[in-house]
Amino acid sequence: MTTDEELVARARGGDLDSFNQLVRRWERRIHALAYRVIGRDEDARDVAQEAFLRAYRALPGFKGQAKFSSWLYRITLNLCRDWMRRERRTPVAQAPEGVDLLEMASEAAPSESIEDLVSRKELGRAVAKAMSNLPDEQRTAIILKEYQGLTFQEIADLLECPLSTVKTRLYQGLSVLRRQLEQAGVEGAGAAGRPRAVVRPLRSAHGD
Amino acid sequence: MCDKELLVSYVYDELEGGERKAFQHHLASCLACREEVQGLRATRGHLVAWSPPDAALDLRISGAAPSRARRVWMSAGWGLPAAAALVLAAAATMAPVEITTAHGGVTIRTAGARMVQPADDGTREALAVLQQRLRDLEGALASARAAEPEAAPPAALAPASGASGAAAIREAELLRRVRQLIDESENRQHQQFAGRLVQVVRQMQAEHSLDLIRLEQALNQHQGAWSDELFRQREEMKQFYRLVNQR
Repeated sequence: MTTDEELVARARGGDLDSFNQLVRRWERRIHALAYRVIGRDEDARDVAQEAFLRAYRALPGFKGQAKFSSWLYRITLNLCRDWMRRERRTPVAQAPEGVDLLEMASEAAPSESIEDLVSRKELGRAVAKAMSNLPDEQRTAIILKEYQGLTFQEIADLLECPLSTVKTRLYQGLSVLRRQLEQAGVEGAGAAGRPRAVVRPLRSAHGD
Repeated sequence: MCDKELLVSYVYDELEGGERKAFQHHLASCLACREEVQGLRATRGHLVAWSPPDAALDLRISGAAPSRARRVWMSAGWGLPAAAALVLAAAATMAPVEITTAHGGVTIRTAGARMVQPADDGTREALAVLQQRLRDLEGALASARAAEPEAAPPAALAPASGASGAAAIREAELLRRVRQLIDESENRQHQQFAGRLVQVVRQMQAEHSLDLIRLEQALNQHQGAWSDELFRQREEMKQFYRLVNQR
């Protein structure tokens, strides 16, 4: 497979197809990043689109001092920050719409029952909500680590902060998430192993 | 107090061999850390359940294409009413326009030279004004039709005029439907709206592209018959459309 770096070099030479190959390669991950940071699908799509447009325009200035993906992540995170400033709002916990059994059945792993799937959806909802309550810095660190699979060092470079700060944010963020998920009634938050969590209705966790 | 940086590094498996061994040694004697490692690992396991909506964005840059085609990138989020306005403006000014949609994103291609930067605030403003103008235009169209009841008398007309009458009604119908969609968009999911908008426009274009051309001819012939107000607004709308194009 052609590497990102090769595609970047060709794109810098004016080959639009190569750039579009990079777009195809990264659009899902960029959208996922933006979605998790700002919490709204449609705005995340805008951010992803804008990120690629900016990257394309800024390509002549990109000298390969960082990985292409890191550079793209940085552009995306800056756009997310702009969005949050502009909207003056905190990320939204955007839960999936009502449970669509057909749709869920199609994405089921062979071993999963519908009950498993329903509880996974509910768990996803509880996680989204807990994430939206985190301070921006902790949330961003968790997203980059858990969902984008970056190393501590890569996160530190991207966020331009010391390694120890990254660790602290991850530790604090994860601890808060653990507490919140326990409060939301996610059973087994204290047990290791494959998550087979059951979520009790969130209502009961809100009242207090 | 145990070292939480070590602990989180252990949880994320980012400790080197020596450090790792040392921490495992610590774990063997520290119940609190053992419990915490277990709890945080379980929490990590739960995080997997949060997946983003499937996003086949089908983004593509086409700005540097050698043909002078220009692609305006729009998507479901930033302003479908504005997208509707653009489509409408394009239809009304007979600019060649091609609309495609991919999973809720809308791409509008028109003839022109430069790429529009859609998310920019200035563009939004211009589009908002444009939208207002379109509302006015719609009103003017309605009153113009009312003032010209004999615009499409039944049988005895030459084919061109007959077509222009039918086309005028269809344009008004297009205006009405887009207008309706603009209104609906305030309450509805943008994505749904995009799909329907594109559907309507495609349908109208496929069915009535010939009529629209005839309408344009008829409009040129009968410009005088239209109210000055309508003409002025038409010009303004074109101007706004150009302004939007130039951004």
